[in-house]
Amino acid sequence: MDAALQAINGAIQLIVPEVILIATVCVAFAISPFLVNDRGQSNPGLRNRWGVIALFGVLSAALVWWNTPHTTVTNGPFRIDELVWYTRLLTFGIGTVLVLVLWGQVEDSVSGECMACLLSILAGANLVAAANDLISLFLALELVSIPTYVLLYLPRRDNASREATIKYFLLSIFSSGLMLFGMAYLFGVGGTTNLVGIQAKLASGLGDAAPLVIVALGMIIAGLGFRITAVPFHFYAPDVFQGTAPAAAGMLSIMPKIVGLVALFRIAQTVSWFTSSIGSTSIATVAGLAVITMFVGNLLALRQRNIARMMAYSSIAHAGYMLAGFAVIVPGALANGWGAVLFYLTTYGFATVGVFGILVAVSDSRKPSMTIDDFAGLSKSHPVAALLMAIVLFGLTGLPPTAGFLGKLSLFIAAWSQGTELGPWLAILMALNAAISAWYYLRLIATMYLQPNSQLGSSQLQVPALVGSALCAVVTLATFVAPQWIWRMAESVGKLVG
Amino acid sequence: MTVELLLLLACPVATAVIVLMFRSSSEHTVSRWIALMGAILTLLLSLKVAGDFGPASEVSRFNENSSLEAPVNPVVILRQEWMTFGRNDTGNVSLEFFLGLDGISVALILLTTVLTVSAVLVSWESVKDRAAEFYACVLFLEAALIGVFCAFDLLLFYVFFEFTLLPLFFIVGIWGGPQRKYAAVKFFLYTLAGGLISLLGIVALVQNLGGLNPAILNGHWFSIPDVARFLTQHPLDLHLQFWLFLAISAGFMVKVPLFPFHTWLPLAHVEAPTAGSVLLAGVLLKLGTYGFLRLCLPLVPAACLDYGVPLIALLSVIGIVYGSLCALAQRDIKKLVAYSSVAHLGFCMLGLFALNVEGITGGVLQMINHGLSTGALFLIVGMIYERYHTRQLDDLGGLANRLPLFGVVMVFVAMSSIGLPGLNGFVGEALALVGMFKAQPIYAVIGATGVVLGAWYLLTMVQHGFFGPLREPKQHGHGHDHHPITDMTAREFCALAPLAALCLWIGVTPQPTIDLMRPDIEAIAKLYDNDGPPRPKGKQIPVAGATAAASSVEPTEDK
Amino acid sequence: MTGDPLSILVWLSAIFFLCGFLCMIVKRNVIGMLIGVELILNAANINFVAFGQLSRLGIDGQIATLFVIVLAAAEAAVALAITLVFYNSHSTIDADRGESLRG
Repeated sequence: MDAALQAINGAIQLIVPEVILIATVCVAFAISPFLVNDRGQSNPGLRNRWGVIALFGVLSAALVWWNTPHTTVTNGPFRIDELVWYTRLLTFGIGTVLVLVLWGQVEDSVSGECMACLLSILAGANLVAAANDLISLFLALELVSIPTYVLLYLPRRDNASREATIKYFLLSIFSSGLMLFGMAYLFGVGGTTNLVGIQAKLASGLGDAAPLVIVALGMIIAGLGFRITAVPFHFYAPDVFQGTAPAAAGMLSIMPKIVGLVALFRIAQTVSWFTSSIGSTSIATVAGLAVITMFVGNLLALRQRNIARMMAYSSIAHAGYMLAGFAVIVPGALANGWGAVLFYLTTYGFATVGVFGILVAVSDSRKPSMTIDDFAGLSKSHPVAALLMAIVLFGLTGLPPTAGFLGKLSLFIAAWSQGTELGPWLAILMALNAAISAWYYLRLIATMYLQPNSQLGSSQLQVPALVGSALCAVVTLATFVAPQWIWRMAESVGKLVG
Repeated sequence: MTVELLLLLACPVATAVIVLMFRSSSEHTVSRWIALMGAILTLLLSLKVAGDFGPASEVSRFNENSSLEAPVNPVVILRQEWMTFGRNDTGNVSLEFFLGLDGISVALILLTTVLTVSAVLVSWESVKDRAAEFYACVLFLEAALIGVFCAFDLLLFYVFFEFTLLPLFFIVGIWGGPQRKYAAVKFFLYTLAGGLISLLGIVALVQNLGGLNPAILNGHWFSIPDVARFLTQHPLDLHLQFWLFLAISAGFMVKVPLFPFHTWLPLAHVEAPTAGSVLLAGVLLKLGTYGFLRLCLPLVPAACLDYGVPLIALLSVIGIVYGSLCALAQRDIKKLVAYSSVAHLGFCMLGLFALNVEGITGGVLQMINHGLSTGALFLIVGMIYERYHTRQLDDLGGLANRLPLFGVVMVFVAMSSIGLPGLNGFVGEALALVGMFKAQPIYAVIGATGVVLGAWYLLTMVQHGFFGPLREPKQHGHGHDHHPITDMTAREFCALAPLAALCLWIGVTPQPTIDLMRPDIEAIAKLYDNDGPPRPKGKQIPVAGATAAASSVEPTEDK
Repeated sequence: MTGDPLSILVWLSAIFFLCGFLCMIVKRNVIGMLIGVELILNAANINFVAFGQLSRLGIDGQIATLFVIVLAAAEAAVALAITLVFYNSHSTIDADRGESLRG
């Protein structure tokens, strides 16, 4: 009994930052119903208090994480390694911005619940990286999914938002089912739910279980592809992005991608994807998915007028770039594909959340869905917002001097240096797509700066969201000038595959 | 020296930030004065750097401790690690902040800083809307241009090269003419697409260095001098060089612009505000030729000789003749000058791809000359447009009667642009053509017709616009500005005078300028001496036409 | 192979999975689709329990199943709440009746 308690205690010690987040979530869920009166109203300004509490929760979790020494633990329910460290860096950084962005978007009466959902998504993302067990991996994934449903609906609560939530919910739960089924097969082949154990078992030879592993992998890739918005599983994204509140859409454009890619990496690591014979076919599949995904995303983004839909296709295209990086994870190449993907996630994450932050900052509560024309003349009415928007959009395009350039560059180099026929073609297709994507980002910038008449003349800017976007812009510029620190971290994670 | 160069880069940026901080004042007076001060300060700094360059170039060249030949041999100012690709403990490959200077870059930096002052002065009255942002864009552009000229890391070069797009996009798009949005977007996407291909070429080049062994080059895989020196010892496969040449030069071909890729240029020029045109023609186009000089010639020499010469020379002469003929047909003075740029840049490219000392010297000199004389032409056109709100030759005539000073300067600048002996254009064009004549006489002969055509269209324009009976548009200024048409003001004189003086100075005594650049040009031309550029031994892949081209391009015996 | 209880169970779960999958694809009714998802989850559960017989400790699979059951309940709770809201506004629970999102 004591041994079991000690084991649990030891495991909890590894995830203190997440425990802090979850504790904040519990407080919010427990208290906030009592702050609402019978008619569903509450004191004005309640959201400011919840915003501060959520920010405090994220920052204190980040502080604990920052002060924890780097260790590597591979036994037990949680695995702590460089990947976990990097994922926490990402979620705490982007989570801080997301809290700021969400701040002004929610009504006072539901602000507690919204912040709680966001925080549990952050905790879930970290736990996905830390999971060392099929069960904890699945639970962590669901810890991201279930609050997402709520978060998609709560801030807006109109017909469009209901429809978006239903769509997202059905597909999400379907993908979870697929993945769980694949995991069950993996469990059957590996004989244990522990990922390290499965890895050891599979490394000792697949035997006649190889088809089962391939089926399992296919299902897991499909299930995670939904979160990453890889192409055959992407079609929900534009509708959901358009239907939900911009802040929730901003969350949706990055957090599921972090979660999906990290989980995919863990699974790939478990089946020794990068070194075993299963790998080559899976890599070809992923490369194919990546190419289709980037083309579909970019080409369909070209004809969107609604910004949320455009950003949805943009996020699909970026998923394509990252999957391409996933297809070129080769031990010993000049730049590691996985390191490049993680670095790209950082550059992309801050840029895309920055865009949604500006959407929130300038949005008009009477008109939640914005088209490109609504941004005409933004540079005159709100020069600061327009400048920040331009910076993060250039970041998404991948132009210097923004971090997006280095993100794309590291993917290029990773693809080119892996030494097979596939790599240079992937790099060339990525460059082609970057050129295509420049058109629609540029169109938005051109609308803001080159069209004189202002549509959003008198509306008041939402300060927290603006601060969040400013943070994103600063990160985007600073990471360009001094990428070394983050890049080193990403690269050290890449070395996990050898 | 280090501090000065960093200050030179920082000064425009800092000024731009200060200008933006004072943007709340609705007046444009504050912005323009700050911008002017910043531009002049930058000019002084660049003069200081140029003054220090001479002594420094004798002691701290890149190649001083090495016995190997180095085609690119700058004075190293700063090398700072930027991003390191670690490769499993067998070695690292770094991107660097590698800033340096050589004679060519010093000359072009001076050109940039001089033209920026003129650009600020010419916008003095004409830019009133969002003036702070305008001057900030001009200054950011200046910083980026200086950056390109002193970047000696492949990626850093590319970064500055691409960054120039952003300020110019806004300058054309916000303060331009009626079709500005279309022009800005077209310009941006064209050059961006070209630049991305160049980036791919750069990445491919680096990947092919010595079979991915990071131990070579101490990890400085992106440093232009290191790579160039390495490649003289270990030349790449010719077939590979050919593809690399095509890829890397794609972005530069668009920027120059060479013949089939030039369509963005007249549009962007016509729509850009005067300051934009001046910087676009004066310096931005030089980025293309400079890119050829800095990346293509030293890094893929065999491909430049075998494939580059026939291809580029052909495109250049087409550009010269086509640009001249188009210029001849224009009724809009600005468009005429824009097409003349296509022709003049053709001379630069002809000179560079003569691949001998005379040709390259002529090409580089022509880059500077074109910057000065075409910059001045755009200034004059802009000033006249401010007075009459038209640029159509049909509406204007005999302006020398009304604006005698303008007439004098216009004639002077046009002569310089035509290449009248005694002015700068002559020196550059003559050297470029002599160089090309040594290498490929046929192209030189066709190119020379461009001089005649150039005289034709420019003299027609001057004769039409400035001499003969006075012809002015009837209703200039629809009621809102009735102040009489005045001759050149002191401010406008200050903008034009330095350019005209430099034109005369280079024309009369070209030697100081040539001497400044000579060692660096000779280092590059040395690659193409005698036996031609180094080639990989025994694995040359013959491609159709390659051998024919190679045999017809025997480099000159001795200088 | 057919006599082996493990393979019978694996085939059974595969059939359940197929049923659930088809249910997801064919049904337009939210509740129907939810039932399909439950079928898929339970197919996975059967697998977990069946394979659990093979594994070293034997209870990994059962524990996984317990967790999945709890999770499915949580999902269903959220799902039904959303469906109810959807029904209140659209007076239908057909998932493709929503018209407001087109692009």
